[in-house]
Amino acid sequence: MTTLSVPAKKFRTVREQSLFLFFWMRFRRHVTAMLGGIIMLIMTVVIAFAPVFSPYDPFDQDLLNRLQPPSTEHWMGTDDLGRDMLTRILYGGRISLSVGLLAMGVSIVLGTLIGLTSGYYGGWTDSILMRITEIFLSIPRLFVLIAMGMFLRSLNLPNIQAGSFMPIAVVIGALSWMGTARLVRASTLELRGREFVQASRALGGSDARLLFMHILPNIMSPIIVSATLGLAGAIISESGLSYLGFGVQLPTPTWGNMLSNTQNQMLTAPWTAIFPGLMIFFVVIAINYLGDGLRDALDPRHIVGKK
Amino acid sequence: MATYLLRRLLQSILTLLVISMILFGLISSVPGGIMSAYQENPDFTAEDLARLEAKYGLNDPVPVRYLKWLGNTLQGDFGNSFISKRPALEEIGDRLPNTMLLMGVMLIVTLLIAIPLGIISAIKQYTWFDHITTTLAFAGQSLPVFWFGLLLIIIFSVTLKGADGKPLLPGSGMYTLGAPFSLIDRVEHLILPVTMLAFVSAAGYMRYLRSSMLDVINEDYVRTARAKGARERVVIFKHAMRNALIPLVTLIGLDLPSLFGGALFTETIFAWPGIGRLYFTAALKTDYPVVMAVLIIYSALIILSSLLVDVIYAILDPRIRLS
Amino acid sequence: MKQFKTLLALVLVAAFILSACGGGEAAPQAEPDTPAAETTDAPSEQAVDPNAPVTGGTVIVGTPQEPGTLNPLLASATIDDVISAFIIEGLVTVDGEGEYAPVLAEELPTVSEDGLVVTYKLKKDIKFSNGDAFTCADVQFTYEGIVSDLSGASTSGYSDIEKIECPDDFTAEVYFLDVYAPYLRLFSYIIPKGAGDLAALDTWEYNRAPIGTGPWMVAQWEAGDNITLVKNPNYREPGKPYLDSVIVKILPSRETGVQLLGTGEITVLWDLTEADLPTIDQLDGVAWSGATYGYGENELLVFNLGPADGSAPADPSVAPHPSLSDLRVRQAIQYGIDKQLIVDALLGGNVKVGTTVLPIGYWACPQPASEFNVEKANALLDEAGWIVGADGIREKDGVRLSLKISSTTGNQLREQTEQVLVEMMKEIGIELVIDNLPSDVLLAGWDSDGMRKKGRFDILLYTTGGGYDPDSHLFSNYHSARIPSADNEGAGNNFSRYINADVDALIDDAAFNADQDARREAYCQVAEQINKDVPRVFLYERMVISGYREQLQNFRVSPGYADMTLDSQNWWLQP
Repeated sequence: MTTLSVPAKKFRTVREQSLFLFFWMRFRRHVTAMLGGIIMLIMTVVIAFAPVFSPYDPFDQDLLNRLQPPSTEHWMGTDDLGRDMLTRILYGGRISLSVGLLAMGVSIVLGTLIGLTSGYYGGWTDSILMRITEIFLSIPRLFVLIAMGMFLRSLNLPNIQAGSFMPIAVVIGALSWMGTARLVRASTLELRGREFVQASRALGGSDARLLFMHILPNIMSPIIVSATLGLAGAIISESGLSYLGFGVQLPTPTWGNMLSNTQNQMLTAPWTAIFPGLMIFFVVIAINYLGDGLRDALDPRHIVGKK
Repeated sequence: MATYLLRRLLQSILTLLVISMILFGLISSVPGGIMSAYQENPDFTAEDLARLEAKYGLNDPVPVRYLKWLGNTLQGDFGNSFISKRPALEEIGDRLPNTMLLMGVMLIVTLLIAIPLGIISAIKQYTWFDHITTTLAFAGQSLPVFWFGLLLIIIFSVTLKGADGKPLLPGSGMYTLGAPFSLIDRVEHLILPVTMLAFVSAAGYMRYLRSSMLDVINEDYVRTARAKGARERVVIFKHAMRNALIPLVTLIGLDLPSLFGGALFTETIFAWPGIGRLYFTAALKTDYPVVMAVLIIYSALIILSSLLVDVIYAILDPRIRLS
Repeated sequence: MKQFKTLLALVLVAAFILSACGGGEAAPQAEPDTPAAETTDAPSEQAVDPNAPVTGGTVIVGTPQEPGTLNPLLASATIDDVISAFIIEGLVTVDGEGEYAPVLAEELPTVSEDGLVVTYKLKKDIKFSNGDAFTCADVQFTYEGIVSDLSGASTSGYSDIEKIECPDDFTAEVYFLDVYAPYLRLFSYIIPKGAGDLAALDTWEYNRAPIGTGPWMVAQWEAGDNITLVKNPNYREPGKPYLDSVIVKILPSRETGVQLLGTGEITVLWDLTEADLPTIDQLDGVAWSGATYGYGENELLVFNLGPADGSAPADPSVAPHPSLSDLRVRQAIQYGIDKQLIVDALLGGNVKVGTTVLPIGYWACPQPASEFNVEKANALLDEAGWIVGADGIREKDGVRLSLKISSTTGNQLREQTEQVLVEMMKEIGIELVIDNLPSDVLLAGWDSDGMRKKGRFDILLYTTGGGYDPDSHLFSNYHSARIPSADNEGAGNNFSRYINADVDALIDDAAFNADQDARREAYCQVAEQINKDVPRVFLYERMVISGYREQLQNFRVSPGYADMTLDSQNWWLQP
């Protein structure tokens, strides 16, 4: 399969039996990636079992103790209605992480499929898909989201917004795949002309096989980089959606809506702004490291540990 | 190449037309706008409302309004802002230099940071230098932009004070109001917004550059060059860099429209009077003429930049066939 | 050249301020008429009265919005009117106490016996900033402008005018076709006759550099960033304004403004909300001035007595709201709300609890505050047949008592209020679900399927006021003819779909009664009846508030048109 002038180690096809084991071996040696993985694991566990880790109710108001600074009682202080910040951050993480990851998934899958198809087939397929991409890039989210929020309400569905983050995540994903598509297309265009792809094609490999077995593994790095880039954006976008009447509504906490009202509190109650921002920061940086390790492990061209 | 260009141009015009239709339809379907401000005021009589609707041409059906708009726009007239009554292009023209200044400086700073760091960290993969720059880049990518900007303001223009007891760095505007023109003052006002933007976008550029550089270093022709005994410096600069910079061209090209569009968050946090804020304010008030003008120019730039990127690609990388 | 001079002037001003701040030897540059000279910052050496105004200096006024135009004929936002009030004056204004007061008129206008002719005596020797004298012809021109084809101004009242006659330069007689009871609200601004051609109103130079009789005039407008106002050389009070210039700085948000006020980068911040006051109180060297809105603005809950499905019938009884159409449920909700707690906890106790639709000024109609009483609320709900279910939420015929509360997004105070209400309603077995929308969507008109107009809500939380004259507000918000429906093409703001024949009759009669005291009596009866029927709950009285640095003297906001510009000719900076 891997023939001609291409060394086997360099462009590998996805065929080996112990492939997973192989990746795992490479991944495990990536210290920072392991660290990122561990942070994510801890975060997920803490968030999933929030009631175990916090004695407070995330909705319990205490109007006499508004905006209290961090103390032994409230490790992250209290918010503008006297609710425990730590508890709200833990509960908020449930929605924010789900929205972020799901939106990222949707955008990556869409972007990769469109970019691959466009770059591989070229010609009219490419023209049409790229023009569609341009159209999507040109259309402002602001108006799409307002129109969508209105449309959903006009259906008179009972409480569509309460606690359901699926539509939000899908919408964010569906409106943010364009960058990935263009990068993937560029890389595919470049690979299409390569010897190993042409060789495979000459040997009668099907399009799907070529795309997913040969090209996709070789363009993982731009995909992973843009995926990790998109995650923080997706988590924060969620709060923007509430502003447009389409997001998670209060009092349900999310990291996004905890951040959205903090500009003036930054002066007088900085903890209400700093902690949710820090949480987003830690999650995204952990995912970045994770993605970095993943990329190195998956990318057939990289040899881990080479100094 | 010529036929390709011609075809792409035709496609682009068609795309722009489709975009303008979608935009117009979308904006018209969103409620609000100048009329709702008047309707809200009980002092406005039914006759007043009818008169105003006619004045702003809002009593026609949407397709008619679109055709009128298209006709005027093709003649270079984007209409007058509903809010200020001034030509939309004048409103944009007033803010364009501000946005281009901010974004231009930002892009230059970004590239000055990202290109050397990206290349060095690729060459010295898995050294301490690489780990540190990677960590910084990840940090840049992971910061919620808005939050980071606020943090900068709180630290540098609220908490820290200069020798004269004034904020260390100005946190808003393009210059000190009421003060005479001073280059130093202008530069000071650029520091925080550019830092915020450049830190975030340099991170992205650096990561892409590092990974494409790594790809290139392991390519046959680079190895061949090395094997033939070419000096490392020659290998890196003559063979590797040229190819590694190709993906960067895409990125820069795709970012070019933002030189016009500005950065809403940055302009908002640092009170920078640019296009981003103009657009956002106009959008919130559904000031159709201004919103349409900004969006159409922006779309045209997106389409143009993607055409440009494809052409440059074809020139830089002979392996890519544009057909 | 002119621009250069302006720039030079600004440079000098700035150098002056900077040197004064830095402790340098600033040369005193007093105007002949002013009582005190500028001092350096060594106050002990000066034997000058510290309360005497100091001339010179620049005040930077931050606003979270940019005016679209400064021409009152084209204004479409509050900020347009507020900034133009630095420059433009009218015959009559609403003063600092919420009462009508003459400005360019010698006194409040007199009305003829039949109520059809209103006569203004105009002040003499008034000049516009361009040197032209102010005369009755300017009043005529202002009227023509308001009713012209391109006008963006409200013609209500002006459309009832038959003609304006000028027996001499300083007398204006306004002839009405019908009795127009709220005539005092007219002519709150005067446009000079030389402003431009009314057929080209949109392109007037005046729009961005108006010519007025007020203390200031525009020197420069840098779009999106700032507007520089300098002294009107022809201002009628000699030696005033004390300041050299006022710069209006356009800010992206109120939050940015609070931060800049704190660091001293701006001197005044226009349009704070009650929720900002605790923050303002914590900032060093910053104070605030507030007044209850002259038109009696209340933060309120609007109940939907009709169907919430968007069918918007003119008569809600065809499909009454399953719970809110019952007076007992509405009363119970009011009993269940601790308004005082909201005011104390969220607003730092700085505002008054809402009690009546007419809280201030000549039309004030004080009413007793509603009672906070959970037992009464529960009893009323039990009586109405809403029984507490397994999850603590009341039910009736299998329907849960779950109501949506909608407001505008991006408003922290409203979001806080809603969340507090959610908890309060939980106590009486009502589930409140927050469903906020962008203000454009929530407040949109009938044609664009506005949620509020079409009645697609259970409870709304927003602000609206009684108006300087209650006629238009009460008619528009409580009269059954103003229920938005297909019949009236969605006109009116009676979103509750509230019908009360007595209220209708009282409002109708008062509109054509020239006897102001009798009108006041009628409107007060309306206010009383509204409190009995509870179509709305008044939570608290909104204030117009601005923050300022303490060194700025004579700063105070007006509940009337002038807002923060009240007394701007008397502003001076304590060195």
